[in-house]
Amino acid sequence: MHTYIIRRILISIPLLFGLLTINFFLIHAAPGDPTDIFYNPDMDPEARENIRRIYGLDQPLGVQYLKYIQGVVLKFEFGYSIAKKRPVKDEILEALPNTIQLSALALLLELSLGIGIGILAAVKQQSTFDNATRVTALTFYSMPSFYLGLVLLFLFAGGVSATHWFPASGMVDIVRHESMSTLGRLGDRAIHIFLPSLTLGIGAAAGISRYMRGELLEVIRQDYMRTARAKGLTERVVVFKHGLRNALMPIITIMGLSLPFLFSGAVIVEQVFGWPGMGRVAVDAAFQRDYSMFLAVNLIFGAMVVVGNLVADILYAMVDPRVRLS
Amino acid sequence: MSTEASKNSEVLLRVEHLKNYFPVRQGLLSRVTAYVKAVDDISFEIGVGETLGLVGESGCGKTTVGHSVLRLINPTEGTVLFQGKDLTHLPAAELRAMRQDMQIIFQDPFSSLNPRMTVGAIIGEALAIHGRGDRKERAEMVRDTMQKCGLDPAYINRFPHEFSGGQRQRIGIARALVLSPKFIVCDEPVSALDVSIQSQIINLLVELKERYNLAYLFIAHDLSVVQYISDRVAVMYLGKIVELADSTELYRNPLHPYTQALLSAVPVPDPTRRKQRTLLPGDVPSPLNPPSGCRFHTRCPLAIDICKKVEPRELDVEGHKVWCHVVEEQITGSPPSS
Amino acid sequence: MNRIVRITSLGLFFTSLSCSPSSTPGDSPSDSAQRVIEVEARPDRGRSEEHNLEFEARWNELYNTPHDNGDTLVIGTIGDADSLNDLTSAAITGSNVIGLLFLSLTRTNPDFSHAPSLAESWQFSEDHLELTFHLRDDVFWHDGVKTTAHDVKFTFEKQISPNIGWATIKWKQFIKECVVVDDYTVKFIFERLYPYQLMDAVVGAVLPKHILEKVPDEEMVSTDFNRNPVGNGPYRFKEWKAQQYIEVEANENYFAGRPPLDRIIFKVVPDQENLALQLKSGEIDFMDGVPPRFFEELARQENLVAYIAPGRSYSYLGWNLLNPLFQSKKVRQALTMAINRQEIIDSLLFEFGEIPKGPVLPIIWAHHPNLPDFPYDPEKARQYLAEEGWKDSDGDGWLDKDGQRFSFTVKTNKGNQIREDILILVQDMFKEVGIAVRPNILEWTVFIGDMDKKDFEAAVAGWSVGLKMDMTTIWHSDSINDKFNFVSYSNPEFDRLNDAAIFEMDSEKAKQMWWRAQEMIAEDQPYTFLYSPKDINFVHRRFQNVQMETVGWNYNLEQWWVPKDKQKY
Ligand SMILES: Nc1ncnc2c1ncn2[C@@H]1O[C@H](COP(=O)(O)OP(=O)(O)OP(=O)(O)O)[C@@H](O)[C@H]1O
Ligand code: SF4
Ligand SMILES: [Mg+2]
Repeated sequence: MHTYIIRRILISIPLLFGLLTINFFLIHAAPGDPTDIFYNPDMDPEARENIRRIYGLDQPLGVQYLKYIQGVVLKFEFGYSIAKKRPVKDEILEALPNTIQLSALALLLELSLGIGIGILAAVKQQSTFDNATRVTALTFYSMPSFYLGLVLLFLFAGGVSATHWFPASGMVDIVRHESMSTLGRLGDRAIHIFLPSLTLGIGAAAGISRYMRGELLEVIRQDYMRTARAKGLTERVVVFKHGLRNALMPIITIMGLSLPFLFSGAVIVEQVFGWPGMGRVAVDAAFQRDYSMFLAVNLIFGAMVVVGNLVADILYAMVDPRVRLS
Repeated sequence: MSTEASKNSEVLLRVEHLKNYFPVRQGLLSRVTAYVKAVDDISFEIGVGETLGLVGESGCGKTTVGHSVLRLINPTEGTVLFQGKDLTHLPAAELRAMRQDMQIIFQDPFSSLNPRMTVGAIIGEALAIHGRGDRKERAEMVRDTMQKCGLDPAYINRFPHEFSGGQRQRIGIARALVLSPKFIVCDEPVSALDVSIQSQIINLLVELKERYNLAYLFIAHDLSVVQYISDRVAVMYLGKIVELADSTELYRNPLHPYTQALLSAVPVPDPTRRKQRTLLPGDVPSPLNPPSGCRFHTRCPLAIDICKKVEPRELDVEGHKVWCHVVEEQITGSPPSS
Repeated sequence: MNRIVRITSLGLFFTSLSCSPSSTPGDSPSDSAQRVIEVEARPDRGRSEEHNLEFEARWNELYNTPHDNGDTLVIGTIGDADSLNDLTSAAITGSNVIGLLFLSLTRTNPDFSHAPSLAESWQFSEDHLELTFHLRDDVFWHDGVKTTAHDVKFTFEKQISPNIGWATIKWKQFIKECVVVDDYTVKFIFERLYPYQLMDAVVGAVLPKHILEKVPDEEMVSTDFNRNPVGNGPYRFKEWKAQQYIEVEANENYFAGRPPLDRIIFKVVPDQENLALQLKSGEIDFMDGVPPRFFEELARQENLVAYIAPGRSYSYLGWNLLNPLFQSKKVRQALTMAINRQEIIDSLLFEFGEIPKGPVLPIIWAHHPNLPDFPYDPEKARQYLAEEGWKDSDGDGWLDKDGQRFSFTVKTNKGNQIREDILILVQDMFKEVGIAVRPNILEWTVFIGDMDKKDFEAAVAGWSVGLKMDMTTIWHSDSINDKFNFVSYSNPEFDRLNDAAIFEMDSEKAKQMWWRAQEMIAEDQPYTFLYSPKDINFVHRRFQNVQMETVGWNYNLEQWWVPKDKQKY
């Protein structure tokens, strides 16, 4: 298992390296360059040239590439962000935990809501609950997250005063957070993260709930469920121990594969709710042609895919004795 | 000779007027639009230590009978008396306790074993549920049962996928046997296995039955397997029993045209025995909309007018029961009444 | 009761626009006062080298009015800052924060003239080539070190270093040297004489030598100081969380006395819709550049006060003069007359804008009030075009000439809703006179790349006007290739006038020259000047002493205060 993981990680290195290279040339080929953000008549072309020189943008692309790769490989340095005036690493280290926080909660929501509703819908197949959740799930599943976000913002973050229950942006009440008690801070964080994580998680939860329902129904039809019943187990043990555990296996794969989607979904949700995470960094970097930042962000997204797949495989192997990692 | 459970043994299971209708739902609102009459009013008995074979074509309702008898599904109507208790109305807790005495071996040795549990857990789980022994004793019981079923106890921590089909069916048998039940439904326990292994499993089942005085409801779709193991045999067609008799009697003297057709499909071990080969035209009709009168009339070579309109009634010839207008006429000499 | 107040205040708004009463200092809106205030346009005296005693007195008066300390102001802003170091900052949020953290030699008066700040006084030498500043001796960096003339000289040297890339390095181009006379006296030596010598000398925040001298020039763009600045202004840096907020707190040791507000927080908010939502709900207290479409909704909020300031920018439809279609002046004039600019302002800006007749807006001293104009007149436009040979000869509804149809593409950048909408409106208006227009909306960097390469036929874009009167970078023929004369306007007479006017020391003479230059542009119509939007600001009504000026909404931000009984935080 350990050797398997190590090997998988080693295999992914050239993959990520290739991704980095492709991205490098792609972003440099895109029109414009990072100094465009200094574009105003008060700025002399000379100043712009100075900045290009400081960041090495005046050098041949091949040289820039080699230097960049050298930094990444030898020193694990990802360069400086031109738009943020700081090392790329610093900006990412500040943003990444916020995105992880948001994604983790969204994942939790996704799983708890998705699995919970899926189980209920499967156990009470064909009931009103089942039919109602089917329609609701379809609605949320097909709703673009930015749209859902805007609707939630309008409904619960100030658009309608009667239901103004949540703040419209940010992670904390920036004025009062410092002076709150520990419990108060926790609550403050909770009300700030609620709408974004709901927006991010609910679409996926809708998907999961349908998968879960389908899988569980599939599993419930299996003979081993009858076997379990025949043993004299209670219905609860039958459904949860024998049924759920088996029905969850495909969900684990879906979950692992959905990790990158959760991250890219965060890009949009973070824009809507001003969540200070990787999504905002990514969008800024792309629009500002902040090369180093863009590359680093993409590398992380790429690594996300690799890790998501790996995690899915490992989890799958852990829960399904039929799968051996080698 | 009697169609009742052998006189020298008491009745273990009595099934009366068992019906199993499955609702068919359609449309956006999933309305019930029709019923699949998978089992439609059948009755039979099984005595202690007795084996009743149940044969019929695929889809005729055998499995449904087997599951209903153990109340793995709830019958629509009818009673199932096991050791004198009506299972159909037993509270869940009592029913679960009852399961120690009645078990099932499934047709498919692959899907009937939880892929995520070890053999030990699969076999031993029921022991824990029913509070048999402590952990150590239970492990011993599992090993012991494995041994009895021809499995190496060393494999106790293996997972089902590591075994061959025959071995897996042995696991299924061990699982059923571990509680020392009095009655086991064997739902086509060998039909998914290679022919070479089938006899091993059958022999094991026979051996166990004799050793522990087990009663079986032995389900199969061909008569040859049933013949070997059963004391009595019931033949089913589209949710109904059409003939029920002692095993030897049934094979020697099949009365119902359907039974005769089934027997003609059995490879005959003795080439000198001549038998008229009956070929059944057409497909099995759908249990969703079964034919009126005698359900067999759409395919019966002997069908007469009344067969389409009137359901045949039970005719009991010294314990050999049959449901057929023509046979009734032949035996009683009186024309079938409406 | 509520309803009546609301209606009255809305009514007040409309009269205030037409009668334009101005706010007076110290007279912030109280409960009964108006809720929409129009900021008065002051005569521009940016060239002045004199103190404006009237404004200085007003400033001091503001500082000395009895007030309460405490409370927090939350300012909503769309983009995060990039750096809080004036040498490396390019984003507007950064410069707003820098304005609170750092002092410059002078402070800008509402009329763009200079008021004492770090420098108490200044004077030019006889030949006007040396400018001496006398600094205060009671200004301390937030770490306790004194601010001296050495800091000024150090800052100047960094500003002109090619290895730092200060954005406004051009402003220092005529300064030969900066000399420390003594600890509190510093002298700038100029290469030549010109009207904006004082402005060029003082532009930029003075930075702490004792901290930044350790930073090599090449590392300035990434030094820790960019995110942990130590200033000497009324507020001191407290915390910066990327993409969340920048917090500054009152500097107890500020030379003019502790500023009233405990804290000012610049909160990063994802977009204007969200900003408006938070303004309404009270999550933020202030927002500038409010899109006109939100005005009505926000003006209805009892606890908000609106400040409407004259425009400092304009949008235009530029014609690529290298394109044969647009080489005739008459055609360009016709194109302008084909556009109903008032309709654009009414429908897209909800009337919060004006039609500029030329590139020099009314807030600038050199503004020409009576430029030739080409008001909306499709009939006349068609006539002009016909005179130039553009007629609908085949009767298909589109104008043509020599078998070629009059049609072109208009480019603009994504993300500016009004500009995107303009393309649609303009398309219809041109169709009216028989001209086919295709809109093409591009990502910002792509758009300006195309403009740079002259790869456009017509384009909608905008300029915000600088403090200095200088038309070189946008209109001079020297600026066609590497600067901002996108449309390739080339007029030797204009070039001559511009070059002379820039260095004309006599204000009256200079004004005449600039007027002539503006007449040329207005006549030539290289742009169709579309609109100059008013700047809409909303602030929570609990803030007193709010005085917004043409120089900026934050003119006296350090003097805002909240009465104890109304303090929110
Ligand atoms: N849960 C159910 N819902 C609806 N119809 C069912 C259900 N279970 C069984 N049936 C139908 O009832 C009929 C009898 O099925 P059953 O499984 O009892 O037949 P079988 O004789 O065991 O067949 P096989 O030999 O294939 O196992 C079939 O037509 C089947 O489709
Ligand atoms: S009743 Fe009629 S149809 Fe049915 S089996 Fe007998 S003969 Fe055939
Ligand atoms: Mg079956």
